[in-house]
Amino acid sequence: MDAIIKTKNLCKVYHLGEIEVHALKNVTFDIYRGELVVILGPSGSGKSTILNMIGGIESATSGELIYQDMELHKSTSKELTMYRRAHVGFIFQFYNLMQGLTALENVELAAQLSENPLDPFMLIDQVGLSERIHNFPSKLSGGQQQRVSIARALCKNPDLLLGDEPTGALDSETGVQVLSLIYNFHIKFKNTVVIITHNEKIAQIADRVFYFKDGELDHIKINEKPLKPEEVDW
Amino acid sequence: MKNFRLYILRSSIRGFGSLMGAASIIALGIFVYVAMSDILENLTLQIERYYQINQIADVFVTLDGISSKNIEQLKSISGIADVSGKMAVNARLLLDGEDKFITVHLMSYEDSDSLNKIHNSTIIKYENGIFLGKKMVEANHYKDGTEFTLLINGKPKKSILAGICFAPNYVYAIPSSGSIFPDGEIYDIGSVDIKTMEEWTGKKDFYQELGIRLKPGYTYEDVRNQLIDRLSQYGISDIREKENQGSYAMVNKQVRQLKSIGTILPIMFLSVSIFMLYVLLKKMVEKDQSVIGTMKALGMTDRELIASYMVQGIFVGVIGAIIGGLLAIPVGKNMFTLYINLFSLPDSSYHNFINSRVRGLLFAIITSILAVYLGVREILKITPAQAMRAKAPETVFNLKLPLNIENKVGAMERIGIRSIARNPFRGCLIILAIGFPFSMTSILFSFNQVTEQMYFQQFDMIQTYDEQITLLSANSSIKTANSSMNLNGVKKSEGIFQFTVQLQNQNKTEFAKLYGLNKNSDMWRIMDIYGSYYQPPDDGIIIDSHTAKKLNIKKGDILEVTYAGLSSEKIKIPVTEVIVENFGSSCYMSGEGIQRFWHSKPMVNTIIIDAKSGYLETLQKQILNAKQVTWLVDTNRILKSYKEQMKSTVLMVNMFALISVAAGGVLIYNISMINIRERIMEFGTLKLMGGKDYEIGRILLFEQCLYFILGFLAGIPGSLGVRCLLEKILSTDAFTIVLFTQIGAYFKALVICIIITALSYSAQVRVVKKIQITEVLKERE
Repeated sequence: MDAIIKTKNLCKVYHLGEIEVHALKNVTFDIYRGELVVILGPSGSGKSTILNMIGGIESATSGELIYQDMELHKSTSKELTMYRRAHVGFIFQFYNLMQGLTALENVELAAQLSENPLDPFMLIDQVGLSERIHNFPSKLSGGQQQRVSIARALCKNPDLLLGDEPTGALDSETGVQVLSLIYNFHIKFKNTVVIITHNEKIAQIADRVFYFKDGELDHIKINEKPLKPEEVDW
Repeated sequence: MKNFRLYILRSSIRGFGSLMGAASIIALGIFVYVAMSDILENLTLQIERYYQINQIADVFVTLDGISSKNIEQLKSISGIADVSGKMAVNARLLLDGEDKFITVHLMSYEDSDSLNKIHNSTIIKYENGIFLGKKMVEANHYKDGTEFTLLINGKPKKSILAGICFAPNYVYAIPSSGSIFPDGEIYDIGSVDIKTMEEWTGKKDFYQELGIRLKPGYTYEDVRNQLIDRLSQYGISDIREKENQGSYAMVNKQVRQLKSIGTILPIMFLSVSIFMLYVLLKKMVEKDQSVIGTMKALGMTDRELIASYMVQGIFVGVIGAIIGGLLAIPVGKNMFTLYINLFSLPDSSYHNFINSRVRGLLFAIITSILAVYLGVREILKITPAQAMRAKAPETVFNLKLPLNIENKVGAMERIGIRSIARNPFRGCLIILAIGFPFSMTSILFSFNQVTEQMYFQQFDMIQTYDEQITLLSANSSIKTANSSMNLNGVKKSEGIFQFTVQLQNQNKTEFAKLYGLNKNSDMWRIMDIYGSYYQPPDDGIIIDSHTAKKLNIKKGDILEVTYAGLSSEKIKIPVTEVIVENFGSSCYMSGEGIQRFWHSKPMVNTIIIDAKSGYLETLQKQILNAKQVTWLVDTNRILKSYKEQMKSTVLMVNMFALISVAAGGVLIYNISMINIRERIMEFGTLKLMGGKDYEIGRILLFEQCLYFILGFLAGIPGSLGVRCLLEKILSTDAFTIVLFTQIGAYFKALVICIIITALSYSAQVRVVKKIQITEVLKERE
C-alpha cells in the first residue's frame, strides 16, 4: 500500500528545567493514503505529540518522519509552514474559531490560505449550517462550532485531516454527528484522516487503531470491518 | 488572508477606544510637529526672502562717523566685496498730548544703498517726511500725514509721517539697553532720505552704521582685525558678524527655539505613542495566542501574521496624522501670529504646507509600524502547538508580607498586593503613565513662575530703581547728581557711567557694555543667578560668563579694554570675577575703578532715580520735557511689555502642559482599561464567589493608590530630566534660564495626576460593575 506518512524510530524529548520528559520513544509506523487512523491512549501517552508532529506543528528530537517524499524531520520552520498550508487540515478539540469572524468567514479564511480550496458555501451547507453562515461563533453551540471547524479544515482540500479530540468537548449525540461528518467527508474526498482520542468507541470507525502507552506505540489493531459512526453503540 | 485581516479589524473595533487613545497621542505629536514646521517654514521663508531682497550685510559696524570716501577705501581690504553706510541717530519723537517717552532709531536711506536696504511702504516723498517702523505705527495708531516733532541732538525738527519702513537688520527692533522684547509703543526704527538726515543732524557725509559684504570664501575673522585697525580712528563702538547682530541673532534664537520645541515635543509624544501601541499590541497578541497558533497550524506564515497586525499600526498612524494635521491648521496660524508679532516684516501671511503634513504622515506611520512590530514580534515565538492547549498559568511570585502588615490589610488588599507582585510589567506601565504627565506638567507649570521671577528678580533685586535716564553727553558726576535731585519727586538718585568697550584677550575681541556702578548701591547691584551679590571692583572688572567664554578668559586673567571716548590706549584690567547672569553680556566696575584705570575725572552719562511714592508720573513729565535726555528706561514699562510679550510664551507653555496632561490621561486610562480587560475572568470569578462590586473596587483602589505613589516618585527624577532639556533649549547668549521646580507646580501636577488616576479608576469600576457572570462561565480559559 502507498504510505502517505512514514515514521522510523521517532523520538520527542521535552526539557522542563532539569527534567527530561520522553514524550515519544522510538515510534515507527506507516499511515496509508486514504485510510482513517485513530490513535488511542491515556493522558501522557504521547498521542497529542505524534499528531502535532504529523501535522508539522512540532519537530522530532530524533528519528525520521516522512510525508510522501518530504522529510519532515529535516524541514525548516518555513518548510513546515508551507507543508501545513498545502497538505494539512486541523480539527481542534476547542474548535479554535476566530471569534471575530462569522461561520462562513472562518471557512473562507482557510480557502484564502489554500491554492486549491473547496467551495466554502458548499462545505458550510454540507455541515448543515447554511442557515447560520453569518453567525459569529459566540452565537453557535459547541457542536455547530465544531462543524464550522470541520468545514474550515476541509476547505483547504487537504491530503491529511488531523483531529485532536474532535468530540472531546461535545456531548455524545453531537459527538456522533460530528464524527459522521468527518467520516462522510473521508469517504467522499478519500483523504487520509488521523484522529486522536481517549474514547475507545471511536476506534470502531477506524481502518486501523494505534494504541499508545507511555510514549511508545504499544500495538496496532486492524479493523477488518470498520463501522460507520451511526452504527457504533455509543 | 483577507479574512484574517477582517478578524484583526473586528478585534480593533472592540478595542477601538485604546487604539484611538494611541492615535490621539500620535495626533498630539504630529500636531506639534506640523504646527511648528508650518510656523518655521512660514517664518524662515519670509525672513530669508526679505533678507535676500534687502541685501542684509555679513558684517555690521557702529562708529562715531565716517565719510563715504573712507567707506569706499574699506573695499581695499582683502575679502571685502562691498560696504554701505547709513547715517543713524536716536531721536525722541514728540507729539501733542503724548505722555510716553518715545525713541526712534532714525536711519538715512539713499537710492545708492547696496546693503541693509530700507524698505519703505511708498516711494512718494514728503518734505521732511519720515517712515516709521510698523510696530510703532500700529501700536500708537499713527496715520499717514501725522505731524511730529523730532528731538535730534536736543534740537526740535518738524516732521510728517509718510508711511511704514522695514530694515533687515531691525526685524527684531529693540533698544541697545533696557529690554529684550520689542515695545513698538516707545521704540522702533525710522527712516528719512539722506538729504533730510544731513539737514536735521547738521552733519554732511558722516555715516554711523556700516554694512559690509564679504567676498565668497572669506569669513568675518579674516577681515575683523583689519577693520578694527582701520576704523579705530572713527570711534568704532561695535563690530559683529551677522550671526551676532542683535536682530539677526534674536530672530535666529526664536527660530532655533521653535525648531527645538518642534523636534523634542513630537519625539516625546511619538515615544509615548510607541510605548502605548506596543503595550496594546503586546496584550492583543497575548490574548490572541491561541488564534495565532491556530493560524500557524493552518499554514499562515509569520510574515503574513505580522503584516495583518501592521495594518492596525498604519490605521492608527494615518488617523493620528490626519487629526494632528487638521488640528495644526488653526493652532499653527494663531501661534504664527504670536511669533510674527515679535518681528517687523513686510509680509506676514501664513500658508499651510503640504510637505509638513506628508512628513507628519510618514512619521506617524513609521512610528506606528515600529510600535506595532515591537508589540507583535512575540508572534514569532508562538508555536502552532500553543493553539492546541490553553495557555499554562505563569509561575507567580508570591509576595510574602510581614506578618503584622498581613494581619492588618484586608483580603481584597492582599489580592491587590499579590496582583501587583505577579504582574510587574503592567505595574511599570501604569507607573510610567503617571510619571510622564507629572514630570512634564511640574516643569511646564514652573516655567511661567520661573521666567516671571527671573524678570522680577532683575528689577526687584538688581535694578531696583524706577527710571533710568541716558543723557545726551557725559557730565561731571557732581553736577549731574545735583541737577537730578532738583527734579520734583526724586527720592534718591545715582549717576553711573556706561559705555561700550572693546574687550580683548590675546587674539579674541568682543564688544560689551561696561557699567561703572556705585559701591554699596541699593539701586543697581551686581547679582548672579544664584543670588550672590558682588561689589563693583575698583581694582578690576567683573565679566559675565557668556563674554568670558567667547574671550576664553577666567578670573585672575588680564583683559585689554579699549574705549576711544576716554583713551585710544588699550587698558590692562584684571578680571576679578566671572559671573553667570540671567540677561545680557555685560561687565562691571566701580566709577572709581574707571577713573583709576583711565585716569579720568568722575563722569556720569546715566542717572538712575527712585521716585517718591505717588510722584512717578510727575517725575516722568519732567523727564519728558528735558531736552538733554536721549533715552529713558522705565522699569514699570519694561515689566508691562514683558508681561505682554510673555503672553504668547505662557499660552504656548500652557498649551504644551495641556497636551501633556491629555497624553498622560489617555495613557493612564488606556493602560488601566487594558489591565481591567485582562482581569475580567479574575473579577468575574470573584463575583461568582459572592464578591461585591465595592470589594473588587477596593482591590483596584489599593492598586491604583500604590501605582500612583510610585508614579509620583518616578515623576520627580523625570521632571529633572525635562528641566535639563528645557534649560538647554531656552538658554541663549541673551539670557540664561535656570529652571527650578516650584513646590506650587509640583502640587498642581500632583492634583492633575490624582484627577486623571481617579477618572481611570472610576472607569475601571464601571467595567467591573458590567461584568456578567454568565459570560465569564462561557469562557474557555
